[in-house]
Amino acid sequence: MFGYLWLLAACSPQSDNLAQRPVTSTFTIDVAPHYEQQTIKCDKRFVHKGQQWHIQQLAFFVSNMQYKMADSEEWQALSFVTSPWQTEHTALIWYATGCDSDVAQEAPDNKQGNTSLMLQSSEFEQAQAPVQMRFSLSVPFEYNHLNPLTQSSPLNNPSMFWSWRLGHKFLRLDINSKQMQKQWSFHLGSLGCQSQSSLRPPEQPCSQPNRFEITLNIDSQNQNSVLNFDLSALLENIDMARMSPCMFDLSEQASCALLLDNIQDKDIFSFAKRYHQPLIQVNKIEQALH
Amino acid sequence: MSKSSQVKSLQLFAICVLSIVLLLGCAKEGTKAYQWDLPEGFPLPQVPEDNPMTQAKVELGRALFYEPALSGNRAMACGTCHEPSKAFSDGKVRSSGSTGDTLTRNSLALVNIAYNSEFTWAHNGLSSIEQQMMIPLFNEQPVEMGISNNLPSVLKRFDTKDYRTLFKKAFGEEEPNIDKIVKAIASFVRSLTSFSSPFDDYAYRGKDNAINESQLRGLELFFSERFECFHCHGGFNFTQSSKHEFQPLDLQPFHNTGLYNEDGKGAFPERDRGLIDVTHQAQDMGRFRAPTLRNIELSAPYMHDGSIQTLDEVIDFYAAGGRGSGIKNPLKSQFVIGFRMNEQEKQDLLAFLLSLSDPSFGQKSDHHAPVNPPKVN
Repeated sequence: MFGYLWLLAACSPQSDNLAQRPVTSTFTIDVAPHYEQQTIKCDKRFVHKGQQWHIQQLAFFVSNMQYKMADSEEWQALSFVTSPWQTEHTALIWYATGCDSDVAQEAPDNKQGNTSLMLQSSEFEQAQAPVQMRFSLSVPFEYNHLNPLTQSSPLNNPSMFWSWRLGHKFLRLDINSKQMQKQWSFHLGSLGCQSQSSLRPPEQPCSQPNRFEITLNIDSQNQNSVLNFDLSALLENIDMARMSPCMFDLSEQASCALLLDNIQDKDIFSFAKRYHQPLIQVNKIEQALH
Repeated sequence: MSKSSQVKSLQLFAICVLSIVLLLGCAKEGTKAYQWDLPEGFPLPQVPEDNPMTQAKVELGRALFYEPALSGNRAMACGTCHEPSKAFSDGKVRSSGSTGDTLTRNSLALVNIAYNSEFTWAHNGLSSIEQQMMIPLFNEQPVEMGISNNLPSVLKRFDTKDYRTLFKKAFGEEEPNIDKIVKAIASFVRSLTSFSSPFDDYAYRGKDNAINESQLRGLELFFSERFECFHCHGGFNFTQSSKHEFQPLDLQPFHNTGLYNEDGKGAFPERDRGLIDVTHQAQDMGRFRAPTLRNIELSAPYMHDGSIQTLDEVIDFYAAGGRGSGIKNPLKSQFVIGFRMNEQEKQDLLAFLLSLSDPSFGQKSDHHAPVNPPKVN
């Protein structure tokens, strides 16, 4: 972080008038998965329809993040600070690899996960508190179908990539139930993509892009919030014990349709307090002049 | 700027250029950067900072890799279990060590392991080839190269004029020691790259005719949700455990494929239980790393214990969702659920797997033992 800021400063032309430069704010938004009002941690199971489940992997892409002020109808773009988890335009939240461990673990360590979005804006800091934020639960089409080998991290992560034709898994949830000795998955991504083969990108947008735009209100009285991800809303009306997983195979259409409806209609994401955790601000980390 | 200032600037520039040329010309042979044999646009592997690749180290490592005097009793070299014609595996169910011990696992192919983020069949604590090499060199149960009680005598064997010259070129010092030996062999192994298969021509060089119709149908099956192959054999190396200059994340996937289920609760045979033997975590029972599928036709038999003889049988194994009681292994990966296929589909998938073979890989002269190996004592 500080190295990056130092680099910005080092690259600034010396003749600039510092006072006239826009202020760039860099800040993080913590992402907190929970089931109803229970924070999901590695040492916790969640109970869904009477069955205990462990998360093996929960990961999703966030892109096109924007905010809006109370006195404006215009959406202002935010960009991500580049890191192994983020390109300038797309970020990967990666939670809970190995959370099916029997050993209590407070949280996935840095080597294994990423549970925050690091953003920057030249105007966000100067503005009054934003009232809305929105983002896409996806990888943008223009980056979704490129050769992953030549893309930068995290868009070259093979476990989040289907193929050139279909592009990335926008969301990946793998869970298991030791009680039932059952594993279950939901992998979200674009469908109906036409190309010569799985290893050739589509030239036209896919017929079912499955990109969900999430718009969230921000309580101006309570800026101390995190981006909550509510697993219970995603899995509402889904009985994993009986219904097939959804990885967009033809036999899985029933569960897929319900899951897509849930993303569309339920409040899966929200800016709210962190459940059963100390409140953590949408943290301002540092400012830099450039 | 005045004319005299311009002349001075030009003189200064010329001196700088000349200095750089002279410095380059004076550079030791050992510091000559290694030229990776990679297709255009492919990312460079990550190389440990304390062991940068040089041509001299690769050449020394190549000689050491094929030198039986590196084993305690001179009975075997690294190359004994890693033959170029078999994609640097050995064709045996399980390999044997220098003293005759039978090892617990099938010899892994050494293809593009410069990109590996994990090493061996099941270990999440080895971050480099250099670390991994300590196992075959010093392992005592079972004995592999058998160096641990013979290190001084082994090192003396390399105290020859030929090897002193090679060590000097590679490290700037003539004295052989185990650190230099490990670094040199690791450099040679890192140089074993393979990107000239028909699949590479199709996928990365855009040659639409590089694979035939059957292989193309097999490709579609491989990347389908019905067959699920790509979930574990993903990425350009057909194993998800890859790192390179654009991919620094270490996400360590290991998988239980349902080979065994000794007690109905998921147990694998005591002789080799996979990642659990390293982590002691119950959920790691029977978990192994998905090996690369590049040149897979050359590295039979298959699986960590060599218990499946042919690719044909491997496809049947995954179609069945495991083997015997292993099909109901409660710890089995959710992606090994089995699938129905007709004979044509099976042949197409097999044809696709054969398209991952790089015919030039085992034939490159600089991958083979030196024709005139350096002398040892």
